[in-house]
Amino acid sequence: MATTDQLTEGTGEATSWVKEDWVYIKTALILAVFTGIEVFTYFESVHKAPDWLLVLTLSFLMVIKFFLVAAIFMHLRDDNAVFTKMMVMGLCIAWPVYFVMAFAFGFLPDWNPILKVIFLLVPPAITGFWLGYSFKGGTGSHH
Amino acid sequence: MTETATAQTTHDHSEDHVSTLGVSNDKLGMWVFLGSDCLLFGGLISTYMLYKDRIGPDDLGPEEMFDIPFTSVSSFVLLMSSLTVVLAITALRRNDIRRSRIWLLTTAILGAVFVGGQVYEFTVFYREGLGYTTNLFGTSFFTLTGFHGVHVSVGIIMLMSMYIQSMRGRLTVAQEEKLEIIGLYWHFVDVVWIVIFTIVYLFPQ
Repeated sequence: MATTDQLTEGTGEATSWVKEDWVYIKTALILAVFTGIEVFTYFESVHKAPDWLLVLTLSFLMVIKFFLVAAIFMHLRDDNAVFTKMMVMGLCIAWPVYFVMAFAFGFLPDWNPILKVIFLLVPPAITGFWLGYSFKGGTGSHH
Repeated sequence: MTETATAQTTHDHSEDHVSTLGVSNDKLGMWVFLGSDCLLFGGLISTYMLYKDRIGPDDLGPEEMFDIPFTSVSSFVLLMSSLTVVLAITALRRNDIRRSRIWLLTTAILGAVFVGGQVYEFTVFYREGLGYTTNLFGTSFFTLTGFHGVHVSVGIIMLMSMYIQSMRGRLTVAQEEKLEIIGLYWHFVDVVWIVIFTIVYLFPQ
């Protein structure tokens, strides 16, 4: 027969699982709302807005959605930091490669060259600095 | 003594899966694969961006071809499948095999609905005159979205294999990491679609 403590413990555990599932459900709802906003930009009245504004808004929503899925659904938020670092390293390489191409082929506005260099190099430089700073040497085992 | 021996065995067993970085080898392998897949899709998206305007004077362009409301529903379906797969993992973690199985099947069905929508979309495009070799826009579009569709299909096969294992009673809490790795793949497919949907379908043409 279960004691009161065991029952309380069991209920507490169940509550924590419900809480965990609720986090995922909330995330899915936020993603659904963001998708709704994205689709809303397709409709005529909004679609007449300047292209740069649409691209900026859609890019912003896309990035937020990307990181929400990566952080919460893919557990990067709670998992070992090595996985996050691996993903960030990939993004650091990909960012300048794809944006150089985007600028070269005129997908993005014809900005001032200095602004372009800042846009291309600052995000990977900051994340690269963070990566270098956070890696701890000498803790791995050697065979 | 027995407890100690069991604990030792468990400890040794878990160490088999842990790399010198202190993380599971299998999971690390999946993350490395996802990183390389990121570059593949990045290349395909860039190619599409380059060629989307390469259409003949009489050809239909992206603006005339795309059915945004239809694709939005497909996107929503794929987004929700990310939720169902994560619910399958949490259910398995708390040893609720029955619920985990239901969520697994739901995810596979949602994935199949998405792939079905893509097949329907491709068929409509083909009937309207956009084939794989009609122009560079068609080639790059079908390659990009087709590759993504193949990824979703592979994900469905993996989910169904887990579902069959659960039906045979072989899905246990011990296999939680396996399901989590499949989940990582599935979420990645979702993340890629988030990018494709925005850049290919919603960005002003």
